[in-house]
Amino acid sequence: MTPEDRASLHAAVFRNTAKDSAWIGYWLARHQQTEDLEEEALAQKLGINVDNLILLCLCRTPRTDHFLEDLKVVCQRTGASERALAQVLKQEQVLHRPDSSRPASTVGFLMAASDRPEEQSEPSDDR
Amino acid sequence: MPEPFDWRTLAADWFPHEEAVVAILRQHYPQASTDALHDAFVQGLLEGAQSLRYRPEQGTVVNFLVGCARRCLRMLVRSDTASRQRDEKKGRKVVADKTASARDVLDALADTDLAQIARDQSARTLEERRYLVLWEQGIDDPAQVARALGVEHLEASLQEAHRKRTHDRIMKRLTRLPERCTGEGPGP
Repeated sequence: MTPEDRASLHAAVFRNTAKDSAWIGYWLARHQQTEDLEEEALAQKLGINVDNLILLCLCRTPRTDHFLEDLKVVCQRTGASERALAQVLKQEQVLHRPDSSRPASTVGFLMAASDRPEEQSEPSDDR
Repeated sequence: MPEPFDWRTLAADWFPHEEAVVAILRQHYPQASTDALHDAFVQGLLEGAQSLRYRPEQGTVVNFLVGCARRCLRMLVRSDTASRQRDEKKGRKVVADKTASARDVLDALADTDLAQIARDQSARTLEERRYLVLWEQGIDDPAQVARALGVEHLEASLQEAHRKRTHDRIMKRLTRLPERCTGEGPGP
């Protein structure tokens, strides 16, 4: 595959998964907008390369009532950091809720300042 | 698939089939751009993975994905063509009203095997089948149509007359297909 074809295919994945909240790509696209991140920077934040970022976009958004279980499956498949992805998803799902009520879940909830470096005392459920 | 799949990562698991699927799509739609092919593949992949309709005993994953992607590509190509036609200058000829109703017949059958039967019944000769392929893809470039009909040696006015006769013949058969299916109207 030529670099141009690869770029075209990647763009198609980003574009089409960004249309439907059923796919993780939707939330990652919003996070890119929120944080003004390019794909490479987003991939780095999640601990993966761009090829695995593409696969991550194609995974289903973790269900609210099975969040940790679904998150684990998706991260095992793509190599993404569970903690980093959970933070991204929770941040964007809060920002895009129709009302301002806070969710009961505490996963990643306190990390409002997303550009801070990761702290050392976090739960060790990363890959 | 050799192993039980996980619905949460199914689209990601099927993604590596991209090259095989796009190669097949390109054979059926040689005029489609790479971007359109990739869009169709991804849209078909997402629809197919979300639907959970795939059954290994019915065929390969590649064939399943090709089917999903072909439907998406037909819509994409028509949408692109319609958009270009709207932007063109007033001198361009307008697609006849009957075209929309004839396309509706194939669109309505797009998800079933009847679509191929409809094609076989409406386009009987090789030239008619070639013309129908271009028409389904939304391609009405006079030079390509003339090549498909084998009349590129004729002057432009005769080419157009030949095209119109072929077009009218196919559309007449297409619009009468629902009558035949319900037993109403004359037979083939």
